[in-house]
Amino acid sequence: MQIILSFVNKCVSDVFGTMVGLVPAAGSGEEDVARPSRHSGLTGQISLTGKFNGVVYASFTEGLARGIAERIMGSASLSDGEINDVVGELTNMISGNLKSQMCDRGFNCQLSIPTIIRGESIMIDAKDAPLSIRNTYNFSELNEALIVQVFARLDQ
Amino acid sequence: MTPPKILSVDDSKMIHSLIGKAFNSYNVQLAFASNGVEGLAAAAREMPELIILDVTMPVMDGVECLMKLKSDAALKDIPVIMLTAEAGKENVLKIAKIGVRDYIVKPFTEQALLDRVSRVVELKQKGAAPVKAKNIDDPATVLVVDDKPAIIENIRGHLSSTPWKVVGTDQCAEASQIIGKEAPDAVVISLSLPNKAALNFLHLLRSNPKTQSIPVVGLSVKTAVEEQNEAKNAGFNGIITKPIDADELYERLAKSMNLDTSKRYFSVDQSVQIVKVPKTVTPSIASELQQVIGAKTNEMVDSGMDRLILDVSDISKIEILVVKLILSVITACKALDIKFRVVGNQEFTKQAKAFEETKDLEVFQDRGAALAAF
Repeated sequence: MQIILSFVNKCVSDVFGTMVGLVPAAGSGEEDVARPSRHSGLTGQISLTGKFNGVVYASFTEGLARGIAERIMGSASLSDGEINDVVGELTNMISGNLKSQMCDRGFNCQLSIPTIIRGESIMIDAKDAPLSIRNTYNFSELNEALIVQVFARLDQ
Repeated sequence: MTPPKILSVDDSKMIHSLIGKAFNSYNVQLAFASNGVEGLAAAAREMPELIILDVTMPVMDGVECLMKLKSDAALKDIPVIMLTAEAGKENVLKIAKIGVRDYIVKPFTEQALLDRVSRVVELKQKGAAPVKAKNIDDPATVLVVDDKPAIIENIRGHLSSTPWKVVGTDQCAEASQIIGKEAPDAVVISLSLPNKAALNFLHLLRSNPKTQSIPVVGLSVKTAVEEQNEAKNAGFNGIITKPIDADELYERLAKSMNLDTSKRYFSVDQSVQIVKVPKTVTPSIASELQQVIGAKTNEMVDSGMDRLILDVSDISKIEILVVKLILSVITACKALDIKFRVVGNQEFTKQAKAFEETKDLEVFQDRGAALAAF
């Protein structure tokens, strides 16, 4: 699981470094995360199906989502729909890069299109996932944090 | 010259916004679609010079859209750059086999996007001094690299009625020297030269700022599809197949040199704009006409003309390409209140009844009758 956590760390760093010009500081990460977890704001979700079978969640606070979206789109007056779109696309990029790493190691899989969930109390729970990792990524410039979780199983 | 048109097909408004910002300081026309179905419709309508195509989309994904583009005669030659978040080897091989010109992995920088696109489409900064477009009457030099002298002579013969000079050589080394002294307007090179010499030569030209914009067209036996696909993916501006057809040679070279070929189709007779459609309407001819008709109708109105005759009298078989072409001319005329008439032969008139879009067309038997009807 450490190697998958390292892939996720690299994906997050590459995605935000390239698209936003901000490289967050990755936490040490957790494996076998305590479930369920509760989040407020926006969470992007992408499913992976195949030999690497699971779900990727990228949870943004409202402030983080808006701050990142404004930097990318170059506008301070974005609608909720536009912010949702940015969250979805960033989740897509994180998941896509993770998928590439896994596919190159023989764990082929397909990505779904992203789903965005908005709310004050979003509960995430993947009860039967043998593989679960979570990490927090701190954006010091925005004083906000992103949480990425991956729940999956590897089918040989 | 009309700025190149780029179609972006992606379900993400963020990506569209980034693409818009990247090309903001360039003379390009951008069109956007949100999924594969919309993308196909937009491609058929806009006939762009390039499509930037996302992979993961709802309704129809990028792979299916790409396959449909490649199986459509009118659209298959439009170069596609795939935009994907999935950089894995298997995915890249999969899309390369279907036939993409290039791919960009997300996340991407603006510069990476511009670099990839500029290999396919000539990007000009806004405000740059306009370059006078060469037309088909202007002299040009075509360098032909082939180890068979008969092929060089064949090409020289086919182009003898044009103002283009053909310079031939059987060696890439000599070709480099020729280019070093004076850059040709286009290069035609045999793809069957040994040791992938043609691909290496292309790479050499593209890696030198002084020669990177010289169009390079590959020459290949008609059945050597794999070699042709490899060339297209490497960035050749076009392929001419052997045995060489004079019309195809002329069209491919004219297109690769970005010549204004509108003189072939447009003329003026008694203050009426005549649009003469050739007997055989290939996808590239249809695309060319559809691309220029807007500008041409604007020009004619600007010069005081308000009548147009669409002469399809050489056409004896109507196919969907011809129908689309006729519709685009009619649409351009209606947009500017231009009165138009269609001239066609009896066979055309009969076949036109079979298409919903042309069944009500009034077709005149000759230009005299059409002129009198205005």
